[in-house]
Amino acid sequence: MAAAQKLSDTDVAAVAALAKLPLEDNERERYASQLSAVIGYVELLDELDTASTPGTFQVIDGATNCWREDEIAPGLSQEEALSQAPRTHEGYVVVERIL
Amino acid sequence: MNDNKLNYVLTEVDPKGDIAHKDLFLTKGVRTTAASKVLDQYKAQYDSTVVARLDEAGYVTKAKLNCDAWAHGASGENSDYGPTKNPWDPTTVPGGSSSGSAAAVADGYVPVTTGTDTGGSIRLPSSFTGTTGIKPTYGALSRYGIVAMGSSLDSPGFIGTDVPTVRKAFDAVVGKDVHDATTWSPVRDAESTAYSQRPVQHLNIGLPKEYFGEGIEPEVADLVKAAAAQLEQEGHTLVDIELPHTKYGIAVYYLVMSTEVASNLGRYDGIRYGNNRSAMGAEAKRRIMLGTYASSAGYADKYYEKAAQVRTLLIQDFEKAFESVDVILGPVSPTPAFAIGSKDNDPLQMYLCDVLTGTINLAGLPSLALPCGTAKSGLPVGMQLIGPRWSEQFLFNLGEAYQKLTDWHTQVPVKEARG
Repeated sequence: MAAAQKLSDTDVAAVAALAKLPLEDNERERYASQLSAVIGYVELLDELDTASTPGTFQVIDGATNCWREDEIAPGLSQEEALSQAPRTHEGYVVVERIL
Repeated sequence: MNDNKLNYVLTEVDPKGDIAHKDLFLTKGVRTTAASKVLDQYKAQYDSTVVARLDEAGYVTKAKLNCDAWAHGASGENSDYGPTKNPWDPTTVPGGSSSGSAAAVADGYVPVTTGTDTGGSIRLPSSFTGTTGIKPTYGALSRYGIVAMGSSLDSPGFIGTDVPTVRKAFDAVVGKDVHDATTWSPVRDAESTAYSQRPVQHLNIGLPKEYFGEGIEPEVADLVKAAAAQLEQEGHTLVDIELPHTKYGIAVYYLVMSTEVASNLGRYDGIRYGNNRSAMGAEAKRRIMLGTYASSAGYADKYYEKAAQVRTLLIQDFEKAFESVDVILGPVSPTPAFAIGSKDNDPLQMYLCDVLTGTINLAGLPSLALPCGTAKSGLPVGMQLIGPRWSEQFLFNLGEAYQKLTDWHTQVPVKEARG
């Protein structure tokens, strides 16, 4: 298995960065091997010719565009909405600086 | 009294309660963790629709229950608060991910619990603990206020002591919810009514070849076949059927589910609530990375889109089967409960536990898990009745008829055995 791993440590680091997951150095190798095994297994699907098969992305029979009246209803108070936030400032949630 | 040696309770709410909830269900003012340290101290700001409707119907919440973190697991071992143990044998797993929900019922803590089933997470623990579990039609119950896993698959449902107990809770919460548009099916009412009036006599019961063959422990297959034979004696007809794409089910399920997991767990940033992403456990990291990889630029066609196409073929298998049978009967799990720790370090082996359950979620069908025997080890074995969409009442009627013929559902673990 190790000879033809589907994902290298570098691939795992790239995927973890995409998913904003902090990984320890020693985790990369383990995940590379485990994810490679799973990816190797799912390639079983390549046996099937699906060129003319449409994909299924949901199984809701016939419910499309579920519109409703835009009515005012009670929601969370500002206090409730902020109650679980680790950092708040003058009624707002403090977020990471992005610029 | 519950000493919680089996580790199924995460948070006690009211000792006089009569129902307990998987810790994925938001309960206003009560700690709701999804069994992940990310939500270790999170107190829900509102109730999930299912919990609100149960409260309205007079149920009282006794506790919040352990599960695999984020509902990721087939055994109950992935909880960040330690594995739940099986009341029948505490050295074995109770099945997951609704591990606490099944263990609490089997241990006599409450008669009914909520659970969620994305790829088998209600039915597997039901079958491992000798309890009764309903995985409803996708969209039958509102998902609002339940920590999301795979949004095209997630089905909230119930685990209980027997069919009437489960049906009563189901009836209290089923229906459209303004907060979840996937509950707005235009055919729900007509279809559900038709199935509820359908007599459970002289049925054609389909036995899929793939559910009794390679990879299924002969002991399990034999017990489910014996249950089928008992139904045959009641005037039903057993029909051999094929669900030829079953062997691709796990591959499709793990690609679709993990892609949806990667998207859903993206919201846990530790900014509005909870801890940051460094608190994610190993299985959550694996699934987030698998889904991110399978849906990323350059790979999405090969993995995620391909899985969606094979999902269509799996659905067509079931459609074809229901042209000739009224209901499908098969085992829930290829084996009875396995030893705690026996699948550590091999995630793929753990994933294969969902081989007979995940395809049903991919097709959005309802399935009722019922105990149907005891393995030589003394552990319970379960079967599932799979029906067309919206056929829950029909499945309940057939399941109730089966439980009148049998007493597997009345058997309970011997507490002394625990020591």
